[in-house]
Amino acid sequence: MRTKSGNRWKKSLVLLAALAVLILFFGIFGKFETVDEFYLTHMEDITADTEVVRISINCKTILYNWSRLDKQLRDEKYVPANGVILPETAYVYRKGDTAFDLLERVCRYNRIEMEYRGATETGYGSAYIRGINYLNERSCGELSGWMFKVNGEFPGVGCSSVVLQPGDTVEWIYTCDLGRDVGNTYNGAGADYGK
Amino acid sequence: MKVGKIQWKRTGAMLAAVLIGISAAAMPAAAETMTAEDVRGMQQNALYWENERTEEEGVLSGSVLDAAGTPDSDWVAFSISRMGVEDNQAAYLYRLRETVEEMYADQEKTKKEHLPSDLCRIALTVNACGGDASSFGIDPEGNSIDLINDAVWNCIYGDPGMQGINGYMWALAAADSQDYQEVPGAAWKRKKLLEAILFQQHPDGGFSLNPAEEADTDLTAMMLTILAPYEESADIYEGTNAVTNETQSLTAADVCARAADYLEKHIEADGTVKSMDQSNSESTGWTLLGLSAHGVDCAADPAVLQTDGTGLLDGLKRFQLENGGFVHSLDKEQADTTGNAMATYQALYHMEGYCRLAEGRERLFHITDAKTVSDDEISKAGETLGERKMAETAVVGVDNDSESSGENAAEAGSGNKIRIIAIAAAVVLLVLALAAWLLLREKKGSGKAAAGSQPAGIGSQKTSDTDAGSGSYKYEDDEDEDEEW
Repeated sequence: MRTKSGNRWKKSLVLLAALAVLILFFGIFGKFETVDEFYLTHMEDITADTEVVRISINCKTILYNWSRLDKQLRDEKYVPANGVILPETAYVYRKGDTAFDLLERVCRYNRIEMEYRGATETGYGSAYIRGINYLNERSCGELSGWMFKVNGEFPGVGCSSVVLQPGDTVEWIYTCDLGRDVGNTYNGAGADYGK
Repeated sequence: MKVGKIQWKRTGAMLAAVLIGISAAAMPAAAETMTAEDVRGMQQNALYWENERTEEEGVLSGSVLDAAGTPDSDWVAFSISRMGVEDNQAAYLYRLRETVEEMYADQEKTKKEHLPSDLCRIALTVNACGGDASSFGIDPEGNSIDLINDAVWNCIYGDPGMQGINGYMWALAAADSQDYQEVPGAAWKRKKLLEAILFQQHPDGGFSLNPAEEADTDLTAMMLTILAPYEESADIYEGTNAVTNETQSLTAADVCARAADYLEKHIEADGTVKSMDQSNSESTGWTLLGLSAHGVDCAADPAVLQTDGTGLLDGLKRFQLENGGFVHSLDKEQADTTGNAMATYQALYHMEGYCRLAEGRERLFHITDAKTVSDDEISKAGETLGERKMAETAVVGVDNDSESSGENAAEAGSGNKIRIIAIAAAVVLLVLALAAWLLLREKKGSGKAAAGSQPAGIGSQKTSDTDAGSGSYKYEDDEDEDEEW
């Protein structure tokens, strides 16, 4: 009289052992990434099917206002010769990205300095971009700062309030004249940069 | 019987048709016209939204209070004060005073980091909260700070309009907020400010930030709001129009009338107003405020209503969410479900402007009806305040940046944690498996030994069977195994 339970035990044990070995392999050789890290390291993994967004960063207007630029910033390190800090580049689109999210990730990826105040600090406000590549607001006169366009238009709201769609093009532009030199007209009572 | 039924059906059908016809005809004509009460209700909802911004009690608390001196906070303080809401105005004035004194501690830096309109906004906020902008705080030399002198009469920027026409408008608004007296010898008196504004009107009645640009609804409405008090004046101004280069001789009333015409023409069928080809809450609200300041009742005047009664109030209402906040635009693709800070505070004071007209009270920017707060009360409020948390900026993209290094460490940490847990679990499982296997081996061994000690032959078989029966594990039975699997 053999017991079935006896055989079951045997099978379970073998399974258990196999599982343990698998987990061991996984633990030793597995690569762990958070979702954020994944997007950060796969930004340019673009294939025919990949959804992309495009972004560029330029400070060309400073080239026309050189005398107003802070003396410490008068260097190609901060203001490239052609004013292009980041030429228009395609990156993998991440669902739910706001214009702020994309800028933040792109700056980390390309090691471009970017200083900002997060949306949460301003209570239902929007993230505020103080500076990119050390070029801060008011670095080139009192009317200077960063503005952004999505698909050629100024959204009129803060960058963390604009949710991107696949195929969108975002341009970050430094203005030396409250937006007038970059095609934006009056935008609320008092200037609102990078907000 | 049949005939009777058919007749009833026919009558019923006709009756239904008539009723539907009447209600259909009646519907367009009977669009409910909004009243000041409705608008007050909208304000209350928006106020609720403002309250929810911070965890602390009241609107002027937490991060909103700490950010006194910035537009997002100042305009909120201004709006709720004009609404008559009693909140933490004294504490707000305390923080604002701190900010102003800091600004005066380094004037060069201030001129670099702020615009003339910033100073004017602060002045208006001070007055709305119950302070006096002409005497607010102490500068490094020990003198009382006079924001009106520094932002208007003897503007520290030289030209208050260096940022555009809105600079002149806000300067005038600050000066008129409490009918301040002009300082003798001042560079920018009222006449000069008025002229700087009046001669920038476009032929279509609109105003733009500078003459070279196209007219904009927001600025035109802002001009009407701030210059409306001058419509009563018979003063004639002579000058050259900056847009057309024509010489003109005009009164403020002439200019305001043309501006009002411009605005009325720009109200869309749904009651909204566009700026840069997009209907948005701020332009809609500014138009409401401008026309209200001009004396036009936007709930009743046919000149600003559609035939079905739809008007600016309806338009503005479209931008309000269920949670009370206002959104900037109704663009479905960019649907904002939480509410926009600027859209909401502007809507609050735009609505206030309308209500004040409907209720026969002082104009929005004529701040002579604010509840005053004494210097003592301000200082007292400051005593109970904790540390002021200035919003900090974060930096990314550099080697030792707070974000990426912090994040990498965290990610590495979590990655390692998973690794360690996995390995530990695996080890535990292996140990368990090993232990179980060893136990089984022992049992099997003892079973064999027992069988071996039995006498050979029948007896041993029996014993073996018994032993097998009592629980030792046999591995030979393939059929059983197959079944089990």
